[in-house]
Amino acid sequence: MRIKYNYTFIYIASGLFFLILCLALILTCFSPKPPYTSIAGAREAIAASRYKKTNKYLPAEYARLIETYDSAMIKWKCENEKFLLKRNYAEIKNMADTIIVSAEALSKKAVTIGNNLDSLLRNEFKTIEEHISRYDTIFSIIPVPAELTEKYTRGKLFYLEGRSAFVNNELSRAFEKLQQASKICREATSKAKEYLVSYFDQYDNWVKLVDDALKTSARRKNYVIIVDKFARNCQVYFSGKLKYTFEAELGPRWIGDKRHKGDNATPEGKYQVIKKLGPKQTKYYKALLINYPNEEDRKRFSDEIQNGSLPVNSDIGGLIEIHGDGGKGFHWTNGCIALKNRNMDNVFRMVSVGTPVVIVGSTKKLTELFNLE
Amino acid sequence: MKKIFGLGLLALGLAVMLSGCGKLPQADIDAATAAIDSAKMAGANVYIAEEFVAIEDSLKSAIEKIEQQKSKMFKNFAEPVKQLQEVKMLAAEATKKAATVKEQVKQEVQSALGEVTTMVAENKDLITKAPKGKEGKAALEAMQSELGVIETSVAEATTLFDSGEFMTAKEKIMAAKEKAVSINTELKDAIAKYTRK
Repeated sequence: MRIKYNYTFIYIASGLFFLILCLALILTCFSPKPPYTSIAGAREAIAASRYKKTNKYLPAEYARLIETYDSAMIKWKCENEKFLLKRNYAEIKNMADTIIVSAEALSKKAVTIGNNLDSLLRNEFKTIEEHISRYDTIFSIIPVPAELTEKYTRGKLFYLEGRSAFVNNELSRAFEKLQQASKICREATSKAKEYLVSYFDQYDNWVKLVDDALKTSARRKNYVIIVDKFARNCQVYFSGKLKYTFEAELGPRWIGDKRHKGDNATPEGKYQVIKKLGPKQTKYYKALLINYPNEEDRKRFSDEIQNGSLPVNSDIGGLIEIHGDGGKGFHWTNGCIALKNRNMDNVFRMVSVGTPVVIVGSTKKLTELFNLE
Repeated sequence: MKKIFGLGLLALGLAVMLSGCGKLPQADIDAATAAIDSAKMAGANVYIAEEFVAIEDSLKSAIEKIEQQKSKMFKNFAEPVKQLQEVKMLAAEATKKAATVKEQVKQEVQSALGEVTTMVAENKDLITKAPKGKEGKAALEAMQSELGVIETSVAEATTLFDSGEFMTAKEKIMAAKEKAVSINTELKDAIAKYTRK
């Protein structure tokens, strides 16, 4: 069977095909170029800036970059909805170019901040560690008020949290924690320092008490016991000359004068031995009972009751001794002075009733003991 | 009439062939986006943050490629579709990984919370067992005050834990643990020194 070709139809169809093809080619040629390279470049620039931690150091600026990128993408989608020749990607390209420029600038800024923050953090660590070390060496051996210990502990916890954040490369959080730690530790150290300085206001009086006692000992050729609280020792002088120095343990609240019964403080001032107690007369091996409270103590106690510093039902306390059973390594008595038994034997042998006992905060200046600067 | 109809069909077919070869892979976009949302819900943005951001970037890149194709006369979505499927797979893996890491951190914090609580109780017990009266009672005041601070820290860490902020809770509880251990050691040393005498 012979096929009949309808040449007119074939000509028209071919013509239409080429027409549509040409139209498609014209549309492709004349349609605006999609902003793919710019947008992809912008995304890569954001990723590169994130690598420089812009999201951590400059979160607001980083968020703006993301926002601009998202807006550009939305605009691109909207433009793609339009007829091919009506699309305009100029604004999108501009936005993408702005992102690239901003991301690069932010990256540089973040690197600077990162370097600064790193060195800032290292300095901050150094400062806080110095504070902690100073506090631990000076104030941990001194019975500072409980609120200071609490403050210092809080600061130390912030420091530990900051250290943990630093290890996890969370520098911003580490910085935040260290700033909190620094503020609290500085306050605690400063208050503890004030407390110590105020205690040493009595230094001149202590020096005078010791000098007078030594001069009297030299003149009368007798023994005198000097208890230096800060040096944690008990010095035995004869004729104004140092014979022995023994380690001593005091009450836990040994800073400051004894004010009342139960304050665990060791009194300060000039006293004398009023009774020698042998092994069966005391539960602390051997003891030398001193005349606390003396006249001065009674007057101060009475003044404190009158001015309301102490409750009216307060008790001044008593039975302060230099006794044995010491050598525990920490201050544990109720205000007495505890010596090791073998040292107590020596003191007990040398000392008689009436021997002066001078108890002072320190025989050295505060600046000789600690560097508080 | 037949000829005109035939020509019309041909023209339409050509137009469709030239302008709309590729179909928009909306289902793949939705699946990849949903997979990323699931990963985020599992905490991937917190526990495996870098990985998560890389997957998000990959999704963005795929969507850019889709828009690029949409901008063209002749569309071909094969490459972005392949990328979207990879994103979906990676996001599913990230969901599992994040859940595992989150669980590990959770367990770690839970265990540390228990340890610190026990240690605080032990420290309190050591304080009460320490010689009373004349020996050492007041010396332990400072430690008691430190324990109070640790207890506050434990309470804060517990609140963070309960609200699902395991990483921050971990930081806090680990610091409290370090301090509690140092107090415990200090306390035991002091008691040992005392009992030796």
